[in-house]
Amino acid sequence: MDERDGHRGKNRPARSGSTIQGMPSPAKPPASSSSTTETPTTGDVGKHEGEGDTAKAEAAKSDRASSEPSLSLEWAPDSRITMDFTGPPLELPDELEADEPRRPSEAAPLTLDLDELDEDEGALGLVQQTRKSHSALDLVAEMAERYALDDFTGALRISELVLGRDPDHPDARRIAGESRRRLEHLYTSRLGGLARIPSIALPDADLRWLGLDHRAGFILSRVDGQNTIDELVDISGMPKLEALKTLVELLDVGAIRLA
Amino acid sequence: MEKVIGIDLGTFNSCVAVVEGGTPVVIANRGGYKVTPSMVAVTEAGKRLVGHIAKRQAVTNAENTVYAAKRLIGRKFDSAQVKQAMATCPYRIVEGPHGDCRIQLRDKPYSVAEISAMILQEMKMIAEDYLGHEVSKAVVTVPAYFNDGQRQATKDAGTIAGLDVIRIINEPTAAALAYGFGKNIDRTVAVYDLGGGTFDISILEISSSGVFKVISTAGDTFLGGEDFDQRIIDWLVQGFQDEHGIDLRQDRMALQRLKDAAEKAKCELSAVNETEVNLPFIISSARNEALHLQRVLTRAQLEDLTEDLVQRTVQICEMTLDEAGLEKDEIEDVVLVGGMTRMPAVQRAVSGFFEREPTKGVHPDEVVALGASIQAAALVDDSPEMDMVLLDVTPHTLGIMVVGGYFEELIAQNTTVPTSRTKPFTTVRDNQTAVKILVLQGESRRAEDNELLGEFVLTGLRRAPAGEVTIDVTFEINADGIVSVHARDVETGKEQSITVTATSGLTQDEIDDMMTDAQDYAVARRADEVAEGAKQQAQTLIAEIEKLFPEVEAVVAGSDFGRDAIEKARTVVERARSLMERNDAAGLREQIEALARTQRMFKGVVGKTA
Repeated sequence: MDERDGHRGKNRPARSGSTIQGMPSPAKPPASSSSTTETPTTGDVGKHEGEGDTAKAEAAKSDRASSEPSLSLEWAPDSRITMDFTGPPLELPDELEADEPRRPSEAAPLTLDLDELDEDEGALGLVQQTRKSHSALDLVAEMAERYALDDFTGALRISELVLGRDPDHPDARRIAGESRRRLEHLYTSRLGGLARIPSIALPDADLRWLGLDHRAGFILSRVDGQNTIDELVDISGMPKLEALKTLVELLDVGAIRLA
Repeated sequence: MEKVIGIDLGTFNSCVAVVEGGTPVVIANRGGYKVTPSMVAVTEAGKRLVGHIAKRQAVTNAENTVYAAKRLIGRKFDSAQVKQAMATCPYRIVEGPHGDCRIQLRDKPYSVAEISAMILQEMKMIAEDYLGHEVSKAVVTVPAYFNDGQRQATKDAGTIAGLDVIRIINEPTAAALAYGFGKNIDRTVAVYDLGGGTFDISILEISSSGVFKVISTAGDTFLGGEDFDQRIIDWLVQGFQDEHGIDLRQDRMALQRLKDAAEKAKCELSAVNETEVNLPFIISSARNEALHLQRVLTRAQLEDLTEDLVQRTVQICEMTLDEAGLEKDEIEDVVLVGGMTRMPAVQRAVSGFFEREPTKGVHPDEVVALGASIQAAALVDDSPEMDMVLLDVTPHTLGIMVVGGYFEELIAQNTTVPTSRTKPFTTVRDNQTAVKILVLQGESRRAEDNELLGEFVLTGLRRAPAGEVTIDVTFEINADGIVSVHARDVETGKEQSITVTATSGLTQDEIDDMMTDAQDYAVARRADEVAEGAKQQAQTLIAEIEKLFPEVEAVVAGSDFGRDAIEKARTVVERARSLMERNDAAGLREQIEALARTQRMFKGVVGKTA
């Protein structure tokens, strides 16, 4: 079932910063057979598969490629990836401007000698304990993005991941609660209200051919043509959202009909 | 004449009946079932479930589903029965403020009387739906072995539920009443009652003058239909484990389905010789494949699996006859009570033991409620056909504690009430001026093993050597079962007495608060039902209107005539939908009229062009 609430086809903004110039980046061979015939051009380094960068971005990259060091990937017929640097040699500027953001290749190399750190300052410990990991930060952004796109299932799933790490995360709590509410409403609407009474729509022999899991099988076993959807939710022993979702799935596969 | 209902408040199932036009009838619940599971649950959302709906989620929400509360009613927290229940029940039993036991559901402890009240309230509502008016009085049945505290707790449960329990009667008495109603017979009958969770056997004497007297009663409070179900579950689980290597008991959803299927198979095997247990998608394998359970169970297999359970009931019958001093041939009829007595193996065992076929004239699930309703009608109806006398017996021996910590019997078990008996006692020490009377109930020779009903002190005795002062102790039980005890110094005439007031472990304030809660629940429930009815009515009307839209549009197509009516109809439908979404019951009830008008108008338009 489409869990993205009818927004699956919606255009999502391309992720900025996914194309990194001038530094080695993990890359993998194209997955589909058609893409194996394409020859990547200089400047496609690190491009995520299927992200569809705009033509404008492509042109800008092309311009930069002539003046900046970059990495070129080539898809070799023997299915091995070859890499080489092209462009002018690396040069360090005379003076670094502190506030100006730089690409890693432009910045002075930083070295950290752990032995020089004073243990009493607790610098390492401080970073380890309080700083959120990059993945957590990304999850929060992803969660907000999914929610903004009305992908409540995705937003709920990610918010639960975030809450797993930080149970008091205010945004995650808000988005989780709101996503649940919106999804419940959506599923309830699909079922035509909680007062509807489902009944089995297929003979026993045909039910077995449906690809149901045991949870759907359980809900199906509670359907007796007498209990309302509301009552089925009560007796399912599942969270309300899951029970409603399962009922929608059963309706979609034709296992139940509603009166 | 006010209608008084009869309620069989069973351990696993309850039933309600009423006498209408001189005939007792069982009242079916909303689902059409004549028995309602005595189960109460509280869902995660805090919603209360009672009856079938509670039963259908009993395994998946086991910690918050109460069944067999009757085993706990009126019992002290530290009693052996409560300890046994704590070891076997999935719900939490906690100690109450008065040494009673309470049941923790979600975040609230409920008294056992309160749980029973929820079931009684459900039965009251079933009766009210059927009769179309409020019901305020009831006769409720209890097992014959219930003591005063348990009977009082059952009465309190009725009070909490908004019912004035005008009489508590013994279950076998009620069964015999239904069996003997209108027959004018003089017989000694055995009532064999194998229900969902308990077994009772009682011997009664029925006289043509309308007197019903319990001679003897015994049973096992942990033997019933659920034990039979469990044997089937074990058999199914073992078969599945052998085939797939998966223990279905580890999955609550699977276990709930097994429990339902086992009960269904057991019932079916009372009528047919084999049945198929078919549970598709029972569990998913480690490879995430849905597995199905499909097995054929025969009647012979079921009888083999449960043979020892049936034999246990026969042994108890044998003991009861011995205690009553009766021979098998003195039993003139056997009345079967409880759903389990439909099982052919049970019927064979009973007829084999009593050497006679059980009577077929009464419905085993309904007979107790029918008897209660007959008693209820007799209490408010003065007509000669309803004239009858129920003579109950004391369920336990009554006596006092004597020197050495022994229990001295004054009124024997199964003595017909009302009754009175006096016994002389003497002092045990020289110059003893006071004596403490401990009033006890039970069958043990040791006083400490019996239940203490009350105590008092008789002072001012004459100083004399041990054994020279005589004190008469009198026990008296009136027709309502109230026990009073008098102690009198024979020489001086000094007297002291106590009236044993049965207590359920609840204070009056607690009962009042629980009553208020129950009333609030009843009001909210009725309001929900009304709102639900309005919703369903609105949905039906909307569906009909929407079905007619294309036809009406076709009729008015090509002209402006009627276009505004269609737009208005759409607005009416949208407004009704919006009210339903907002759960605005009052608004929806008003909108139903507009929906009905629209539907009539559309039907009229389509009808004219047809």
